Amino acid sequence: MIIIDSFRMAFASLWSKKSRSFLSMLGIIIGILTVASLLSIGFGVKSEVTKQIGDLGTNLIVVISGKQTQDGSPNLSASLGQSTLTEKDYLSIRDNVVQVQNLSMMNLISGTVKRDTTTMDSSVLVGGSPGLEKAFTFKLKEGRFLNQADEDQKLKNVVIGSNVVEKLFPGEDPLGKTLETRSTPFTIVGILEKRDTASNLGGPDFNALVQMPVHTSWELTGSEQLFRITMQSKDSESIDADKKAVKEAVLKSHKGEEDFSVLTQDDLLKTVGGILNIITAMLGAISLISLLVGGIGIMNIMLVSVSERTREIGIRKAVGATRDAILLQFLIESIILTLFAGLVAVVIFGTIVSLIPKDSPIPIHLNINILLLALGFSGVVGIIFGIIPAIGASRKNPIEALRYE
Amino acid sequence: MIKVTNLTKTYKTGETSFNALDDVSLEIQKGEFVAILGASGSGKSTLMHLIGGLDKPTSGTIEVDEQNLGKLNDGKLARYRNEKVGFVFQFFNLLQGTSSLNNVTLPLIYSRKKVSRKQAATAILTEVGLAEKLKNRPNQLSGGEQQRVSIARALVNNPEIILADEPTGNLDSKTGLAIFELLRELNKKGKTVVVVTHDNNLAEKADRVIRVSDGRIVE
Repeated sequence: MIIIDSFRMAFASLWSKKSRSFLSMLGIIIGILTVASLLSIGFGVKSEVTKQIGDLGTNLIVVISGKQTQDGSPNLSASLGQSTLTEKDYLSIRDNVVQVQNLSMMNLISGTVKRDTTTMDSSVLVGGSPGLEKAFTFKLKEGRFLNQADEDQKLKNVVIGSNVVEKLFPGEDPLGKTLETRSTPFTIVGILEKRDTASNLGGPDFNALVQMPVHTSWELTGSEQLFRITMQSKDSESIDADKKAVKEAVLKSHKGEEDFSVLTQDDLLKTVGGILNIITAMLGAISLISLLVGGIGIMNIMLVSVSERTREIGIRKAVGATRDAILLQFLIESIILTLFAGLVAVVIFGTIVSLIPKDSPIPIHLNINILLLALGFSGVVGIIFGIIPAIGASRKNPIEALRYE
Repeated sequence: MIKVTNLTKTYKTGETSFNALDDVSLEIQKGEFVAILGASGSGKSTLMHLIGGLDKPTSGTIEVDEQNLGKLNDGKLARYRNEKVGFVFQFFNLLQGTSSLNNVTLPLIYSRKKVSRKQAATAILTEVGLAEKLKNRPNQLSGGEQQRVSIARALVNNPEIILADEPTGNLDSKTGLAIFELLRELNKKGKTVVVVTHDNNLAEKADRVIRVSDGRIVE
């Protein structure tokens, strides 16, 4: 009974001071909006990245240069320096880990591609041996993939992605035409279909791909290093065993020195996911500051309200209100304020999100949990910042309260 | 019914302390109409506050129907104020933003009795002659009417004791007299009424006058 009455009294009192109630709610509305949108973006980025990593191919195993640190984060200086991977490692894997499929070498080449006077500087210039197209699930639009003959004869053939076509051959069929890199002409033998890419997480944008045989790339750069060695396990169950076998094979060719890492998609997800979780948590923490400010606003207005209504408190006590009843009344007022503010924020947020078009580049990830979390937060803020004024109200001496002018 | 024994109430302000009540003993019987008469600052209001359970004694006891008020915890004391006594104040002490009806309902919110609040409040307001003013807020009522609302509020939970602190102090003499008559009527219906006043003429109209001066009973 007293709870229902407390709600009724709280509503009446808030309603009688509409503009004040609204303004103090505004702080909470903005706080909750900030929390909800930053968390949504955080989760959105994570789910987008997870999807992109999944799109890379299935059951991928990748050997990269540089040892990963214990906690799973890559040692940047080690992996960005001169690569320690060579064709010897590739051969060692081929001979020792026969069960993996689509084993291929990949080499990154610095350089731009151009055709006549048009230069494309955002191209991803790689050397890649046959198998790469299967591991990364390239889809051919026209022509053919590179094959063993291209490798063996170090032919100057390339397969290009859709962006390269748009940039260098707009409105033309580039098949059989030539483009130039490092002053060397290459013949286009294959064109890839446009695809979603994992470029957002630092992976290559395969739409900007210009792939030549690995042996050709070595000849071009004069350095026989490998950026990575990729392969696929037969199925997800054998990934762990294969990963171990690959590690041993490369260790053998490196004479026991572990200056490389063998990664699976899971590792990649873990690493990237870990970083993204930290970023999301940081965003959340920052947004909590705005909620804190809103909460202080609520506390301030409740303290003012308690002080203004000292006489009312005295009257209520004189006619039989207990301390708890007074505490409840004021606490419920602040909870109503913040919960209602949270509700308004959730509605505003839901409306804004539903207005963002599906293909928008902002990866907002709206789910009911975030909305519930936001509402929960606002209720908690109401309790935390309402309890002190409410306790103050409940402890007032009735006689002094009645004399208060 | 009310038995006050060796009651002392000391207020401390910093270093100095002041005995608002000093070793006061008195008894009030059920159904009595008693005036507590004294000058301003004599301690009469403090006495009433203590009897009403708004404050606790420094020493001594107040027993009401054998219940020692000093020993009650906050919840029980609140319940005592709610059920046993009704207060009438000089400045009415009504909630400004709300109607007569809501003001009179207030004690019932904190009561454990299950009654129709609106019905009970309407009945009492009709009894004090305000049947037409149920929806009016305090600022739409005259002083006399406000005091009637406040008396209705004191009565709504059907307490045995009415404690009135200068109930006519803020009213013109004619209205004050009417309010006093209302209290007298309540007394006839069986309520124990204690009126605190500094007005000799008014006090003379009570069954018994207890004079208070400097925190002590003088007669």
